[in-house]
Amino acid sequence: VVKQHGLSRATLAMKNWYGVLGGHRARLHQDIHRSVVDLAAMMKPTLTVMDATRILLANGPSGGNLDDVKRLDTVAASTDEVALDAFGASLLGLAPAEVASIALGEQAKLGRADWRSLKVEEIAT
Amino acid sequence: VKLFVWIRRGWQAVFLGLFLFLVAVTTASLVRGYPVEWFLGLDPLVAATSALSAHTLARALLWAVPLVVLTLVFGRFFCGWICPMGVLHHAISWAARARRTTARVAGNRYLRAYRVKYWILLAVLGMAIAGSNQAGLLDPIAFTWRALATSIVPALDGAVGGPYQGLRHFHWSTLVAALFLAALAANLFLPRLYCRVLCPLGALLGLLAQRSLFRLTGDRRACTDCDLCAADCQGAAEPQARLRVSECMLCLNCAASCPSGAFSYRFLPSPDAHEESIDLGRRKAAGAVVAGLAAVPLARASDGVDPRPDPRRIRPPGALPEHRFLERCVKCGACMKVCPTGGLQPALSQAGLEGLWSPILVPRLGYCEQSCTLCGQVCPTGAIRLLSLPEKLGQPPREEPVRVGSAFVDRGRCLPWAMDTPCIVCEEVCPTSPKAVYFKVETVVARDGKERRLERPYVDLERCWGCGICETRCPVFDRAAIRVTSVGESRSPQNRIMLKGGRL
Repeated sequence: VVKQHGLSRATLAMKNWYGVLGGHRARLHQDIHRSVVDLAAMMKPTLTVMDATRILLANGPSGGNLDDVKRLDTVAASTDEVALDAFGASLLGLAPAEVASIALGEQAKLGRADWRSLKVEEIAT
Repeated sequence: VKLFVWIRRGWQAVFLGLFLFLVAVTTASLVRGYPVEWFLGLDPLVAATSALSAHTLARALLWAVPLVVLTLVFGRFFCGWICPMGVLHHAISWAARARRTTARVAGNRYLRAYRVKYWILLAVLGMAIAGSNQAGLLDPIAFTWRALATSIVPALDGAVGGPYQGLRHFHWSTLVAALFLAALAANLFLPRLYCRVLCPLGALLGLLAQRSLFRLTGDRRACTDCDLCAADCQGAAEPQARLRVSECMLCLNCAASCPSGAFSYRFLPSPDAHEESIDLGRRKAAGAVVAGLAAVPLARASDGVDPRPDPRRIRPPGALPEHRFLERCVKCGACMKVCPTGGLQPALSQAGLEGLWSPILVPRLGYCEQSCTLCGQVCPTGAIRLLSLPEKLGQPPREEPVRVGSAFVDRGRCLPWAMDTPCIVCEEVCPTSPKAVYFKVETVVARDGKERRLERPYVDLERCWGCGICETRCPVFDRAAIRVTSVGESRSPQNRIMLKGGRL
């Protein structure tokens, strides 16, 4: 789910890997972009699905109220997590460069930040 | 008659099972609308102390009224048929009973020490009159609740991996379990020692049963003085002589063991057949009441109630103002058991002597979940009011949420403040909108001389209601770098900082 985030600016596909951690994962926030990318490098998913049916624009990632939610009715899927994050960031009005983990992900050869250069298919239902 | 003994055992099993069921479902995921407060609601001691101290009865406590009426008519059957702690005492004293009948008869003689429970009752009522409800310390329902909720169930859970996510910790609850297990172990020395000597609820029911309309009555003409009736008498009511009505728990063992069938349960039997009086001693009884009355100002001289609160005395949302809270809470621990985060803990010293084992929020262990009002739902006494969610959150037309305390950043321990290191966890988890924890982006010169931009957390006390999730989640491991104290709590007009906000 696409959400605004105070430190990383946006919580998207790669940051989802925080969810597999238990214990004192809060400590990782001291170097959040590096941690997000390191976690993403751990495993290459076959397909990543991003839910942007409703996105949270402010007061995220928890908290916020319904005024901060925008309804997009969009679901995106990609084999490239970095591209998907770049696309997600654009939904929040952020350029890929504004979310540090996207650039770091590209450096780590996890994917491409320029999602428009990929073969994008749009399906309306 | 044997049949009736089996029916009594059946009821005991049913009520113990029901009690354990209601304790077991008192967790956030299972509680639904179960009346988990029912056993304490049935408890006339809790109702009596609540009525004397708070001058009101919470709705759940109205169940005590029919029990009082039934006791006036039928006697002290609650102890022998319903009380879950009584069932445990009964079972253990049965398992540990002496082989020789004469030894059992001797163990069931009435002792003058059995009057102590009446003095305890009077002292507890005295404390209630003085405004402090201490019924829960020795009341068997509250005691059993507390021991199960804060120690025995979590210990079982930790041992076998039960329904909680991980092991729950309740501060110093081993002490509660040790006292509870000691009370059960006392049956090895004397059957039902706790019920006979200490139980203030048994004492209250004994007083009510003193002139009960129905009584077990032995026919002296049929009696052969074999004393078998006293071999298994639960209450030490001496059925072999003149049965002591106030001590009789109606377990019916006397009737079942009488070889000549001399016992019957009679309506308005001749008073000569029974010992009705309880020799409390007028001066001793008055002394007990006075001791109870005096204990409260003494306890308050040590800790006070409202003017000088302990900063750690963070009460659950919906808790009444402290004086009114202490008039009601019986420390049963249901709120602690149902709390989904495990943050509600039994107080040791944080709430004063009177508040021993009453609930306080310890945010380092668990926070107050924004969308949860379960502690008020399960509270039997109304010490924690049941809030509606809009009321708790202060949704319009309300102007204020229910505040339990306020958060403060400890700049000496906070990563961005003290270590020039980024961290945003407190802001990230803050559930209010807009967030009470917010950042100011500040450019600092680090030790290496380089400039660094840091998001440093601040707390907006107009937004913060003290849920404590920032303290729970703060990555500074032992003592968090953001901590909640009770100041700003809605229930107290004194415990305030801000001029604006937090009106009652």
